[in-house]
Amino acid sequence: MRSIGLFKLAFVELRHNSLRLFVYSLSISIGIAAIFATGSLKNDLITQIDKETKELVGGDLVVKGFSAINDSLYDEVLDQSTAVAHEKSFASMVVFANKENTRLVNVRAISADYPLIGSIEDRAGDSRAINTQGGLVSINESLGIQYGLELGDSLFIGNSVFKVAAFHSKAPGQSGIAATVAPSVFISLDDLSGTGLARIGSRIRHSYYFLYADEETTKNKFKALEKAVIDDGLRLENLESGRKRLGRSYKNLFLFLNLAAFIALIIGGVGAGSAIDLFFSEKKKTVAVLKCVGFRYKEIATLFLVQILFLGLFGSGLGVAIGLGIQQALPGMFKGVFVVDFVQQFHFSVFLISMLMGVLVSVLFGLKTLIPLLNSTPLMALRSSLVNQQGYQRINLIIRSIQLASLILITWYLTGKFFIALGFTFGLLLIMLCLWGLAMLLRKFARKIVTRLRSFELRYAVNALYRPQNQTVLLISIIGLSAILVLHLFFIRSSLVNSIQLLDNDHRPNLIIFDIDEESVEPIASFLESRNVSVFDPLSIVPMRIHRLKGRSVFSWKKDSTHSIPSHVFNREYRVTEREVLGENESIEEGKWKGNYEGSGIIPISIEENFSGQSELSLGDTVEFNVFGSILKAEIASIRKVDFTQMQAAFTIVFPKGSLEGAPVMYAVSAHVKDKEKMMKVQNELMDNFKNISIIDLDQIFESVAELGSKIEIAIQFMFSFSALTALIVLINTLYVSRFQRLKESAVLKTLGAVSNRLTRINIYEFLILGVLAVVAGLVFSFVVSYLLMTFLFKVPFSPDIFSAGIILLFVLAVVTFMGVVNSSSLRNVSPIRLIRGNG
Amino acid sequence: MILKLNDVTQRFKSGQHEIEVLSEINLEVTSGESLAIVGPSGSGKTTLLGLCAGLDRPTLGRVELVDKSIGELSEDQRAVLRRDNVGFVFQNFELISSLTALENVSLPLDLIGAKSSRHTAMELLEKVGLKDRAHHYPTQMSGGEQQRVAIARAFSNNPKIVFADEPTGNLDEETGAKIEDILFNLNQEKGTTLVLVTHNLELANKAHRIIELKQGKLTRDQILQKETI
Repeated sequence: MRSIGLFKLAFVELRHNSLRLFVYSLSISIGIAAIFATGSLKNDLITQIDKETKELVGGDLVVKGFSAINDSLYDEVLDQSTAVAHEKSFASMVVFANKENTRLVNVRAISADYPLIGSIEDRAGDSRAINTQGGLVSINESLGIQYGLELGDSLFIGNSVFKVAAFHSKAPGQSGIAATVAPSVFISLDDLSGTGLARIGSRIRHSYYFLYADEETTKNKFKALEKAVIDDGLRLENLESGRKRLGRSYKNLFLFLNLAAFIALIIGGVGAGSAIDLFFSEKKKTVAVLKCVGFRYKEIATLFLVQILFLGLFGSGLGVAIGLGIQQALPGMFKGVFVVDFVQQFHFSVFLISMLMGVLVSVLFGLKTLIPLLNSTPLMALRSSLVNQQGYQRINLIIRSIQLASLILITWYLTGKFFIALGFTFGLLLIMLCLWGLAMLLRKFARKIVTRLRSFELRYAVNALYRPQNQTVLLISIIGLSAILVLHLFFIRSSLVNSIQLLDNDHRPNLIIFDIDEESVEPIASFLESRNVSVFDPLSIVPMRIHRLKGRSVFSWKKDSTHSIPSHVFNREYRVTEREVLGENESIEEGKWKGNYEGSGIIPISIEENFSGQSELSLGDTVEFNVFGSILKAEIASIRKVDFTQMQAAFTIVFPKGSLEGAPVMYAVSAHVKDKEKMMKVQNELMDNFKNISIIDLDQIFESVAELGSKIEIAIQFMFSFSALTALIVLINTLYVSRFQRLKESAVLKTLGAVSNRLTRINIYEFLILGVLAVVAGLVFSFVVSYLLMTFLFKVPFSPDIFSAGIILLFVLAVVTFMGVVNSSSLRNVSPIRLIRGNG
Repeated sequence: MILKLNDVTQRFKSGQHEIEVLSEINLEVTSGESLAIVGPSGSGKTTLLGLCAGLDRPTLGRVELVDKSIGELSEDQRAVLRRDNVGFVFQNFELISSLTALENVSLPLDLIGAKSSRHTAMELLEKVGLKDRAHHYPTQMSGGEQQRVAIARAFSNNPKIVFADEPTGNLDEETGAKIEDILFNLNQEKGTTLVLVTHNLELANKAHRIIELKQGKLTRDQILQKETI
C-alpha cells in the first residue's frame, strides 16, 4: 500500500510540473528520434539486402576481376552450372548524336542471359532488345532525362553508333552513387569489339555469373575453386560473401549516422540533466520534509527514481514516435545512395534499444542530482542553508565514472568498435570541455567589456548571464557545438572547392585522352595544339602484375600466412609509367631518383611510400613483374611521397625512361581546354578523328562528384540538425527553468521604476549577447577544427566560406534572439504587486 | 501631503466570488512622516501598501502619491513615478542574484541614468556598514546583510517616500533590531517619508504614527511622536 502511495505521490508531482517536464523530456526525444530512425533505416536496409542478395550478387557464384578468366578455370566453374552470363564493364565517354554533349558513363557490355537473377527494369523501351538486335543501347533513365534523349536517338561509344532501345530505371548491382558519377549504359557483349574500346591495356572489369542446381553444388564449387580463382588474380563471390560486401559498403555511412544521432542524444542528455538538476534542487526542502515525517531513504529514492524513469520513458516514447516520422523521410533524403529500394518497417529490437537508451541517458544524467539530494538532512526543512556535503564528492566521482563508462558502452554498441568508441567519447568530452572553458572566458570577457558601457540595459543583460538558472555556459557550449557541427562542413567543403578552383589553370590538365597507341600520340598532340589547347607531355602506361616479390613467388607469398601484406598487392594489376623526371606532385623520401635506364641489368624503380608500407618493400628489394608473359626484374631505388590531392597523374610505380621499350605500351595525353564550349567541340573532333581513344573530361567528373557531395552533405546536415534542434529545446528548457527568476527580477525592476520597453530591451539584449557568445564560440572552434582537418588530413589550404558561415551564424543569432523576444512578452506584463503578495 | 487616500476600496476575484480586501480607506500622510501599518494576517495591510506605493490600482476611490492620482496613470507612468519618488524594502529582500551588492544599490540610480551611481551607492553601503561587502553577491551574504543592501538600495535614488513590507519579518530578533535602526536612521537623515507594514509592535512603535487594519477597515490611527515630524 505504501509503495502505491509513493507512486501516486510521484505522479502527482509530475502532473503538477507536466509542461516543464514535457520540455525536459523533449531534449532526450530528439536524440532518441535520430537513433531510432537511423537504427530502423539500417535494419530496413539489412532486411532488404538479405532479400535481394541473390539479385544484387547476380548469381550463385560470381568470378570478378580486371582480367579475363583463363579457359581451364572457366571450364571448372562452368562444370555443373545450369546458366551462365558474362559482363564486361568500363568507364568511357559517350557522344550524343547532336554532338553537343559528351558524358562519362559506365559501359556494361552484357551477354544475352544477363541478368541470371532479377531483371533490368525499364521505364521505356525494352533492354532485352540489345541482345536480340545489334547496335542498340539501354541507357540510365536519369541520363536520358538530363540530355533530353528519346527512344531511337543515336549516340557514339568509341567507334560505334548505337540507337537508344530502352531507358532503364534499375539494374542489378547498380547504386545511385555510381550512377551519379558514371551512369550505366548497357550494350550487347557482341557489340563491344566494334567500339574499339576493349583492347590490351584497357581497364575492363570482367564478371562471370553462374547458377547451379542446388546449394550443395554451389557450396562445393566455392570451396573447391576459391583458391584457384584468387591465385588467378580474380575474386570469387557467393551469396554470403556478397551479403557481407554489400553490408560493409554502408558500414561507414551508418557509423556516421549513429554518431551524429548520438551527439544529439548527448546534447539532449546534458540539457535534460541540467534541467533536472535545477528541478530537483528545488526539491531539497521537499526531501527534508519527507524525511521529517518519517519517509525512509529508500522510499524517497524510489519516489524520485520513478519520476526520472518516467521522464526517460516518456521522452524515449516521444522520440520513437518522432523517429517513426523521420524513418519515412530518410529514404528520400538518401535517395540514390543505396543499391536497394527498401520498405520501411517497424523493428522491435530498434524500438527496445532506443527506449533503453533514452531511459539510461535520463537516469545517468538525473542520478548526479538525485544522490546528493537524498543525502540532505531533515534539518533542511527548518534551515534551508544546511547542505550535507559529506560524501558528496566521492559519490559525484562514482556517478561521473558510471556516466563515462556508459557513454563508452553505448558508443561501442553504436559503432561496433571499442577504440572508435573510446576515441569518440573522449574526443567529444574534450571538445565539450574546451567549449565550456571558452564559454566561461567569453562570458567573463563580455562582462568586462560591457560593464564599461553607459547603457544600463546592456550592462544588466550581461550581468543576467550570470544568473544561476540561466545555464549560460551550458547554453553557449551546446549552441556552439551545434554551430561547429554545421559550420565545419561548410568550411571543409569551401576549402576543397577552392583548392580545386585554384588548380583550374593553364598549368593543370582538365582533359585526359587515353588508350592511345604509339602512332597516334604525335598526331593527337599536334591536333590539340592546332586548336590552341595546352598539351602536356604524354604518359606511357603499361599494365603489369607482380610475379615475384623479394625473390619469392606470389604463390609462395599467398601460401604464407605469417606476413601482413594484403592480398591485393599480389592480385592487382599495376599501371606503371616510365619517366625521366619527378612530377610536380612528387618528392623523394628515401633513396635516389633514377630517371634513365641504360638498357641492361636490374631496372631501378621508384615506389610510392604507402605502397612501400603495404608491400613491405624497402630500398634495394627486388620485384619481378609479369608484363603480358615477359618478366621484368626491378629493384627499389627510391621511395616517393605523392600528393594525390593535386589534379595530376599519380603512379604507384614509376620506371626510368627507356626501361619499358618493347612492352605493349598505351599512352595518355593530358591537356587544358579553356572553356566549356570549346571543351565539347575538342572532344567531338577528337572522337571523329581518332577512333580508338577514350576521353575523360575532368571538369565533368568534378561536377558529378560535387553533385554527389552535395547530396551527401544534405544528409549530413540533416543529421546534424538534430543536434541543433536539441540545443534549441535546451534553450527553451532554460527559459522555463529561469522563468520564475526572470519574472521576479522583472517585478523588482518594475517596482524600482523600470518601464516595460526597458524590460523588453534588457531581455532581448540578454539573448542577443548569449547568441553572439555562442556563435563566437562555435565560429572559433569550427575554424580550429576545420583548419586542423584541412591542414593535416586533406592537406589543402584552409579557405573557409565566410559568407555561408555568416548566414548560418546570423540565423542562429536570430533564433536565439527570437526566443528572447517571445520570452520578453510575458516579462513586460508582469505586475510588481506579486512581490509583496508573496507569489513573487 | 505626499500620500492621500480617499474612500479606497479594493476587491479581488476569487473564483466566482469577489472578496473585499479594503473598504473605504481614508488616509493622509505628510512629508517626512513615518507610518506603521499593523493588523492581523489577512487584514489588508500589504494590499494597502501596494496601493499606496502605486504597485496596483484601487477598485474604487482615489490614491494620490506625490500629487499624482495612481488610478489615472498607466503601468509605465506609475513605474516612472516610483523610479523618481519611491524606495522599497521587501520582506524577502528581493535583491538581483546576478548583481553584486554595489550593483544592486546603484540599480535605481542606473534606471534614472545618474552619472555617479557607483559613488553614491558606495556611500550608502558604507552607511549600512557593508562597504567591504560591496563586491559580494547576495548568495554570499547573510539575511541581515542582504536586507541592509536592500535598505541602501531603497534610499539610493533619494526618494520622497520609502515603503517597507515587513522589513524584519525574515530576520532574527537581534539582526531585526539592527535593521530597524538603520532604516529609521537613514529615514531621519534623508528626511524621507516612511510607510511600513509590520506585525512587530516594537518596530511599529518606532514610527510617528500607527494605523491598524482589521478585516480591511481602518480601526485605529494613532500619532505617537508628533513633535519629531
